[in-house]
Amino acid sequence: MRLRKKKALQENTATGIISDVDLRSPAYKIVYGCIIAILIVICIFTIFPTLWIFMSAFKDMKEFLSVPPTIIPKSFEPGKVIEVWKIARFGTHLKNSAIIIAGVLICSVVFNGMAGYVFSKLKPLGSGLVYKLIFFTMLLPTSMNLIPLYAEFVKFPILGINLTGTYIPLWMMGAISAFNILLFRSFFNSIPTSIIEAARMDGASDFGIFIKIILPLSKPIVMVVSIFAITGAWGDFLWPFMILKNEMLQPVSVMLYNIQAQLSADKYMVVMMFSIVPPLIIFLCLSKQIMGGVTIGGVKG
Amino acid sequence: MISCTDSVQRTFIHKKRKKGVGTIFKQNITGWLMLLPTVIFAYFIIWRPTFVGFYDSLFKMNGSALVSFTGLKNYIDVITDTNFVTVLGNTFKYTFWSLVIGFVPPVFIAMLLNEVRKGKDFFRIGVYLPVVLPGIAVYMLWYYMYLPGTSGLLNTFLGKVGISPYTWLQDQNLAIVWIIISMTWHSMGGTVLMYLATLQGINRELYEAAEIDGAKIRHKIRYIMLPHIYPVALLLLIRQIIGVFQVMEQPLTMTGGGPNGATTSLALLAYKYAFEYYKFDKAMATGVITFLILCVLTGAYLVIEKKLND
Repeated sequence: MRLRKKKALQENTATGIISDVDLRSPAYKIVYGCIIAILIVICIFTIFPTLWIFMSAFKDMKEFLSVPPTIIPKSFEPGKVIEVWKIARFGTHLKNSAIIIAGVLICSVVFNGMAGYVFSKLKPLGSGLVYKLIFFTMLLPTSMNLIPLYAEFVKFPILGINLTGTYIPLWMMGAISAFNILLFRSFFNSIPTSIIEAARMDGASDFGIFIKIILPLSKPIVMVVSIFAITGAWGDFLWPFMILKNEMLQPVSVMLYNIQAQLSADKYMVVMMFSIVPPLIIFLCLSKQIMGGVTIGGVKG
Repeated sequence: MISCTDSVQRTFIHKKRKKGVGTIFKQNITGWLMLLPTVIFAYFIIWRPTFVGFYDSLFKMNGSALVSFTGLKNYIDVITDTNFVTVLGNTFKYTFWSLVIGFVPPVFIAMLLNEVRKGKDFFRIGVYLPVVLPGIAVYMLWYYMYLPGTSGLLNTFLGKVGISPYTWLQDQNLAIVWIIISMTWHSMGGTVLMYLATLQGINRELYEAAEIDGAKIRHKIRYIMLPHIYPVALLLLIRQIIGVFQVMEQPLTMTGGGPNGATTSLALLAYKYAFEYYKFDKAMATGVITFLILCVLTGAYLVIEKKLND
């Protein structure tokens, strides 16, 4: 009885190679202490540069340049934040980012979700081939696609219209993501087919089943894909930079790059802070879903 | 003609699955319709550009319009350009340094994280934090940290220890290394989580059995952990090579390819051909060359992934 309790306890705490029994000896306690110390150093390395942005954002220029740098800002200029918000026209760029994100979000959930459902449950004739084709070509390096795809957007085939200067190319690229399709597919695989067959017996159409039964069940995966779509679209730089030349249409990421020459370093840190706060908030609130999603479908970014 | 193939298909399905022809056709048509958008997007976003890039690279172009067929002339022009060898060397340098700097630490960090009993979530969030930051913010953040002169963050630290300011990204020999460090900082968290998930998937009974047999820590690492990590590490290795080989945004935004072209990669060269010199034909040829070099690596990736799935 006691042994079993001990074992259960062990399974709850230890996940590594140092067992709880080992940990009782002083030598292992030192090793464990070292492990924690190393991890703390690593976390300082990963967190400090981000923190530096926040620290610098509120300092005045004189303190920003002071040697050694002050950890906690002595000068505090909240007025600067408002001033930079206006100079950078942050409201406009925020609105643009929001429009881009909304489109990408809808496209990635609707189209990748449908594709994942088809590949997982419906499997019509020929879908196996399409699946293989998509994944094979997705694995190919994108270096060859970049320039032709840009040329394609300048003069879109069949329609013959210029899509640069609009958000449509960005939305379109959100609609096809092998990573998201894979996420949806593996999630739908876990839904028992018997539910679908039962609904089909009751006379529901395939599309009706998708809307009424599958989607309500899929909240967790829709959540994960949405988070990736939002943070991905927020950080996407290269395509908006190439496509959107009109400053009033540019999202936050492009503004962040373009405005660099116009602002002094301390003010630039404020713009930088604006751009990292939204993804940080999302991450800190939803860290479980985000880090869970990474390991389902592989590495992203 | 269409109705003829339809009926052939129907009878074929009928024989194969032994279900009502009507229901199967219905089932297929919904599936096809729901897949149609994905096929259309895949065609325009992936398949067509890949083909066009290949095709157009054989032509002389004016802007994005084809002028005349020139065969391999664009390729010869690109390869014989005096800068090409430097750029190719740079691209391999990026890949080499990213493996030296960025490949082992994630394994190591995941192994440490795997031992943590209390506060695991804190460390995981800490390690993963940079991954959620927008790429451009990370490039600019490191650009400011690497600023030469006394105002850069790293130089103020050096100054504190009494070392004179260093040029960082303007150091022709080491600029690539600094860029790679910033890239590793940004993307390491995802890799760590992949390794960590693998490590946590190891059956604990293996360790217990090993303990009974008198295994020490180093034996457990050598004979239990590493064999489990190995296949994941191999896949991540190839992904990393493919990813870093196409590096472009970082040099574009942090150094502009300088100093003296010391950080220009193949992908950045293609970008510059297209958007600075307006030579789309050469840009496409450069893209194809990058593609061909990477095809070898992607092929290896596919073979390995297939072996793992079997």
